[in-house]
Amino acid sequence: MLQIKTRILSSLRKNPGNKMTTLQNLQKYLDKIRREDKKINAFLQLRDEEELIEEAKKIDEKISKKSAGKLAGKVIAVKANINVKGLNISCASKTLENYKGTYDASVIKKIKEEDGLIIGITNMDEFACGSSGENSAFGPTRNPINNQLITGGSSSGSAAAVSAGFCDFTLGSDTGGSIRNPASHCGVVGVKPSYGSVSRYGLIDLSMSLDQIGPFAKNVEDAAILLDVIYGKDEYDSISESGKINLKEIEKTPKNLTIGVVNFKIQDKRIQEIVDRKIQEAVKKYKWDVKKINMKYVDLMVETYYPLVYVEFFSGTRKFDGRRYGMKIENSAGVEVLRRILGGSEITKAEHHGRYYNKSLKVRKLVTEEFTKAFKKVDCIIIPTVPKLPHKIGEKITVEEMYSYDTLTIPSNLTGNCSLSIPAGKIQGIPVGMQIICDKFQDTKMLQIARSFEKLS
Amino acid sequence: MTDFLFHKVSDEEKAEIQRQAKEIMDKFSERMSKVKAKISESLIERKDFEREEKKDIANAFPPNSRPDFAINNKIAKVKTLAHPEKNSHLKERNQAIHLKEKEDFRRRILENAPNKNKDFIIAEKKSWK
Repeated sequence: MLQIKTRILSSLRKNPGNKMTTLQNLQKYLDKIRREDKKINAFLQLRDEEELIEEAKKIDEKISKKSAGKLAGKVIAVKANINVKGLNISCASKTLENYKGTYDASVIKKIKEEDGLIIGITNMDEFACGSSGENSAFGPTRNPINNQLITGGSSSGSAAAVSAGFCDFTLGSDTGGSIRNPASHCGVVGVKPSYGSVSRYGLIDLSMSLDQIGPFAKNVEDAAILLDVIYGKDEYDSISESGKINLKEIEKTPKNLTIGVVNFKIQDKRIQEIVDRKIQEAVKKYKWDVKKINMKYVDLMVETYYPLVYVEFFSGTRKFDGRRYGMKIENSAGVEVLRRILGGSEITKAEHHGRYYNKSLKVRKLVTEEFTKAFKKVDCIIIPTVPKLPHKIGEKITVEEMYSYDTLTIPSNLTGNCSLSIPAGKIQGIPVGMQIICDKFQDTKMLQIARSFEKLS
Repeated sequence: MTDFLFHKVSDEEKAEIQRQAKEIMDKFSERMSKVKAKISESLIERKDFEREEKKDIANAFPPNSRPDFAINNKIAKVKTLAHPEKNSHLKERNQAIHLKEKEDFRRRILENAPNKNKDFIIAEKKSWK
C-alpha cells in the first residue's frame, strides 16, 4: 500500500494534473517512437499494436477497480538479451536473428505481475560485447542528445529509449558498466544493483560471475520503483538473495554521511571537475563529510576484468552451436564477439599456467578487500561514471581505448557492490554522469544518496 | 586503430583477431604480474580445508519427512479437508493450464530450431550449420 502511494505521489509531483490512462500513455509513446526512432535506432522490435492496446485497456480496467499492481500505467522496454516470451531476443546478433523467447525471465514475470506494459525490445552491442553501442548487427544506436555520437554500451537502446522519451523505464544488463556507461552519455539514471540482488534467470549471459540486470529511468524515484519490483530472491537463480528496497526511505536525506573520493587522475579533467563541484555542493547543503581514499589497484581494473569476461563468455557461448537455435556463433558474429570468443579459447588452453583467469581472480580478491576496507570508513564512494566524453559513431580507436570506457564502472562488478549513475552536468551539451557506489546490499542507501543529489538541482 | 561498427568477418580477419586477442591478454597478464601482494592459492574462504564426511547424508531424513515436505503435506491436507470439491476442480484446471503451457513451450522450442522434423530437432554430427 505504502509503495503504491509512493508511486502515485511521485507521478503527481512530476506531472501535476496528469490523468493519462495506460492507453493514452502507450499511444503517446508509440507516436513518438514512430516519428523519431528511425534516426536513433533504439528499438529492435515493437510488439504488435493491437495486442498492446488490448493489454493497456485491461490494465486501465484494473486501475479503475483499484486492483492494479505497482507498475500499472507504466510503459517499459527490455534489452534484447533478457527473455520475454514470444518476442525476438536476438542479442542484436545475426546468430539469434530469428530466435523467439520461449519463456519469461524472472524479472519480466515480476514486471507483468505488477501490470507493467512491455512495449518492445531494445538495441544493444552484440551479445553485450561493447562499450559504445556501435557493434549491433542491426546498426548502431545514436545518442538522442547528439545523433553523431555514440550512446555508450552495451545497453545502448535501453539508455537511448529513456533519454529520447520513448517509454517510462527500460531494463538493461551490466557486466562491466553496460548500464551506467550509456546512462552517463545519454543523461539518464542507470542502476547496477548488488550482485545477487536481482534474479538473472532468463538473461543471456555475457559473464556469469559479473552480470546483473538493472533499470534505466528519467529520475532516481522511477528507477527505485522498478528496482523494487525486480529486487529479491528467486528460486531459479541460486546466487540470488532476499532483500528489499525501502521506497519510503529514499526521500529522506541521510545525516552524518561520509563520502569517499578516490585519489587518482582521469583522462578528462573537466569531468572530474563537474563531479567535484556536485560533491562540494552536497557537502555544503547537507553538512556531509568527505574523505580521500587510496585505491592501489584502480589502474588494473581493465586488465583484471577482461580475462574473466573472455573466458566466461567463451564458455557461455558454447551453446550457440547452430543446432537448437540460430546459427553457429563463430560463423555469424561480429568482430568484438569473435575477439572475446577466440581470445577466451586461446587463454583457456593456456590456463594451466594460471597466467590469465586465475591471476585475474586473485587481483579481483584484492580489489574486493580494498573496497570492503574502504566501506568501513565511508558510506559511499563517488567518482565519475566514464573517464572521457563519447566519441563519434564510426570513429577509429584502439581496442584498449574502447575498453578504457569501463575503467571506473568495472570495480563494482568485480566486487559485487551496488552502484548507479546520475546526470551531474554537461560539457559542450554532452551529459556527464556521476557514479555513487555503496557496499553490497546497500541499494536503498545508494538510492537515498542519489535522490539527495537530485534534489540539489 | 579500428572502428567498432558491425561487419561480416572473413577467415583472414578471424585469424588476425585471434592473434590480437592473445596479444592483448598477454599484455594484461604481464601488467597484473606487477601486483606483489600475497594472495592465497585458494580463492574459496573456509576455516578448515577438509570437510568431515557425514554418514549417508542423503538419507538423513526418511522419505516425506524432510521439514519442507512435512510443511507442504500439512498445507495440502488442510486445503483438501477444507474444500474437497473445489480442490479437485482446481487440480483439473491446473493440469489443463500445465498441458497448454507445455505444448506452447514445445512449439516455441521447435520454431527456434534451424533443422527439425515434426517432433525432433535434427542435429546429426557434422550436419549443423
